Amino acid sequence: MSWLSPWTAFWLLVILVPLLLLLYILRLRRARQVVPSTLFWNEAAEDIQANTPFQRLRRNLLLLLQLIALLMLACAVAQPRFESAAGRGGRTVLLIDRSASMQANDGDGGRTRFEAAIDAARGAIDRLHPGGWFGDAGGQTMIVSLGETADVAQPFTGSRRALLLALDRLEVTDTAARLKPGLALARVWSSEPDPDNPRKAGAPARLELFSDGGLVDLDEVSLREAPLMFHGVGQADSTNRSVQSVMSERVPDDPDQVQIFASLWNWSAEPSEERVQMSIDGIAVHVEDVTIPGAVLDESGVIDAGRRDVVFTPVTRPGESLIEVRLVGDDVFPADDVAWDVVPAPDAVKVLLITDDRVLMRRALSVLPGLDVSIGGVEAIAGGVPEGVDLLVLDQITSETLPGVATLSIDMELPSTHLRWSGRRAAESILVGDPRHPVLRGGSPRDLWAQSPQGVQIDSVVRALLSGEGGPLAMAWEESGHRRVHLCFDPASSTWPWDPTFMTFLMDATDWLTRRGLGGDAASTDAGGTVSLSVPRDVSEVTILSPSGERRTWPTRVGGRVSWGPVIESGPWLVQWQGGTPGRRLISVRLPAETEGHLALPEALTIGGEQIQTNASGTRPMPLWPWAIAAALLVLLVEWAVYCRRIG
Amino acid sequence: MPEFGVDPAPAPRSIEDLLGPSLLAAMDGLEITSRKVLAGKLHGERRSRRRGFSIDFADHRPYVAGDDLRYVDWNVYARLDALFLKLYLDEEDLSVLLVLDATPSMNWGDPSKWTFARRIAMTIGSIALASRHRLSVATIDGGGVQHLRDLRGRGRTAEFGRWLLDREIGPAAGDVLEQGIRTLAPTRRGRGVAGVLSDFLAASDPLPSLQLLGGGGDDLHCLQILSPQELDPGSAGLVGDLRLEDSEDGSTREVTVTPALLAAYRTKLDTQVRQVRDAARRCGGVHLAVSSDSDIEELLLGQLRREGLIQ
Repeated sequence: MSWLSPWTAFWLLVILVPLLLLLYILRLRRARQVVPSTLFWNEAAEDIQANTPFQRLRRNLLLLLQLIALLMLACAVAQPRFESAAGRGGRTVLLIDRSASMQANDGDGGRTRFEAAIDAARGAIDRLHPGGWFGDAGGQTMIVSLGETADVAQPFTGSRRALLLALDRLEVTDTAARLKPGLALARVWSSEPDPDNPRKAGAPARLELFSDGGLVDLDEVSLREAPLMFHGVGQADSTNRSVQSVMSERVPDDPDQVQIFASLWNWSAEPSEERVQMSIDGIAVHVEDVTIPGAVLDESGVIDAGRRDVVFTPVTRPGESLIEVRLVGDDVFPADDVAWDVVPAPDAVKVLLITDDRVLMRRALSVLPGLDVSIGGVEAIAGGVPEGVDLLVLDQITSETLPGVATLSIDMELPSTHLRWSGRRAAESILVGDPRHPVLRGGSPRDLWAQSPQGVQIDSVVRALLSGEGGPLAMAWEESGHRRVHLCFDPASSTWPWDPTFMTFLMDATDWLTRRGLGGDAASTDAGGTVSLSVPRDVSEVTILSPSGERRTWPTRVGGRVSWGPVIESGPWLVQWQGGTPGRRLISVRLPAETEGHLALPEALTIGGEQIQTNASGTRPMPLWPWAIAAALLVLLVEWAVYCRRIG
Repeated sequence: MPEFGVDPAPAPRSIEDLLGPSLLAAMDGLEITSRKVLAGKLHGERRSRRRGFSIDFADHRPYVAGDDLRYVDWNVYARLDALFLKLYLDEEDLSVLLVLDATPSMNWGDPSKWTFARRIAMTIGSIALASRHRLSVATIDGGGVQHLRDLRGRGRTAEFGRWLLDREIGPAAGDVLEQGIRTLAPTRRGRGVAGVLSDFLAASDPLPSLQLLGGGGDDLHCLQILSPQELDPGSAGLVGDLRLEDSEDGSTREVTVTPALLAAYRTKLDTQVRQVRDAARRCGGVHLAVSSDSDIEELLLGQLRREGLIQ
């Protein structure tokens, strides 16, 4: 048990108890009573007082009851309470997980994990900042919310009210959550004092994490001796099934036809019978009963969700369409029971190939679907890139300036600020590819040979796609508002064109560069990421409508690009614009079901090799002052009854 | 709820209020007696030690010239050849004096001590008048002595009762009872029975004032009248923290009434009652402490008869 305002109660007693006794001694107000003679009373009272100076206070039930009532009231003022843990004072950082999995409603009475976490955080604030009526117990606390990024919801403060208001402002997101940015923020704020509160930092701040344990980077972080208390929320046996992903593509031979794929995951050990419904533009077009296999534990003890891929019958959708795949039925995490994808309208991409009549690229581009390829010499761009060109392919052509459109440059020295050229290298093999990049989603070429590639040094903005012994052979980056892909060697002087990955590379590269399809221009993205898409250059602002109906206006950047984020809400987003060519685009934002779908609360978190047990959370200190008030009132009632009985 | 120590009953307005029919019936056949045989001024129904001419032989004395020859004892003359007169106990009238304390302290209690004292006085006085005794009655207060003297015969009962009914409580001033008796004593004519009806709530010793009555040869009867609230204030409801106000001088005393204080009060009261009793005895008198809620009929036929005042 602790006392929030002990000194207040102490001084209250110090003042009031003597005052009460004084009142009893002085008897400022006494009932007047006429008696025949005070003679005997005088003598009797003097005899009594001579023997016992404090006789007036003895055996006085009313005084005793009033003293008890006063003690009870002082006890209430002191605000006693039972609480679970100590740790008051010093610096504390409350890390609040607001990832998508915190929406799971497996708490008591359907309460979500996020609500439980907020309640537990309130309990921690109650403990750290008891908020006595007449003062606080000191200490500084900061609130950091964890998502894909970490945000300071409330800098270090001793104000309990500010902390509670900051908690009230927090909202759960549809993103994954990472601990590392939160720890970094906590360290920075702990080591660099708040200018408004220049208090020299001492020991590392205590960390209190309120989470269901579904943080995606636990094996990447180190606590560095910072004490961490883990307040786990959720249930250890919670299961879930989810629509892991939806992908839609137009059939290359018939762009009006849309092929739709969905991946369904099951996190319970038992197979799950599910009904899956596919809708297009809000109209259900297909319902199918499927069985999703049960999850299994792999050799390392990590749960591997049961998976079922569903391929829907191709549908004819000539225009932009919103695809929705939903699992019909309830579970504790409804947010991942649905996923969306957007299939853009099959507009042909205008490609301008600048070449000295070289054959390979001309023929390769001409067979790719959805491309409107025109060919020209260097004079075609002497006055700038013609209007309407979406992609400029520079095939061994020298350019003095960086073109103002997306570029695929081949074996030439592109004037980029991120590249430093250094002459030719000897022939070498392609050793490493980056399969995670959308450009290489069709596969990375391996053990191929390229003749005399360019020597180049890249900075951190540029991402190497292919690498050989002497350095990068292909790279991708974004510069001046446009995407760029560069090949450091002539494909015609390599063995790559005889490998199937060459054509898939070109197909994916044109998609990525022109922002079509996966990794392309705003068709879909993961929650927590940034959305970026192209709009006509004369558009200065766009209107963005979120899945929940929130509407806002957003300015465009130079070159007709608009970007915003991080996007924390999953679902279909609509972007509309006015201007010379009014238009609209749909973007589907996916909930990261792969990391968020596993809902079982771990018994302990392993952070940097250190196991941290789940602390009982959600128990808030129980205030006892209402009981003290009630006891005081009860005593006063008894005192009143005794008084009435006496004077009656 | 009645106020503590205040008699809610109206003050008596008629003689019937003072006596009542049952008391009148009980008085029938009673008479005032004195434990002393005293001389009266008139032949009454009371024997006196003064030898006279009544029927009860008392003594002889030698004949002297001028004596009434009818009272010569001829039998003695025949034997002794000398003249002796027969002396008889003369039946003289009894002088009854009733002194009522009319200070403010008497005007307290439930029933009121003042009403009770007047009822006692009316009862004794009526018996005295019916016995053809000489009755005097006086009230004493700070304003002096009110005196009604030498009533005799049943026919004066109404006058006596009216006088009593007209008496009111007077102011207090020091040791009123002693001063009043000191004023009253020299005016006393004859001897007989003197009754003092008071609460004797005074700081001074009652002996000097009682001696003024008892020392003169009167058969002294002290009726110390106390109310039930005085006798046991705790049971009567006097509790808590109080400012007590003296009914006579207005002085106040703040007390917290506790069982210990009540016990000390009772001790003081008992001491005072004992002091009055001792003083009365030292004057050859009788002391009787009565509560104002006592039954007067029972008092007459019981305690007063036992003490010899009533026969």
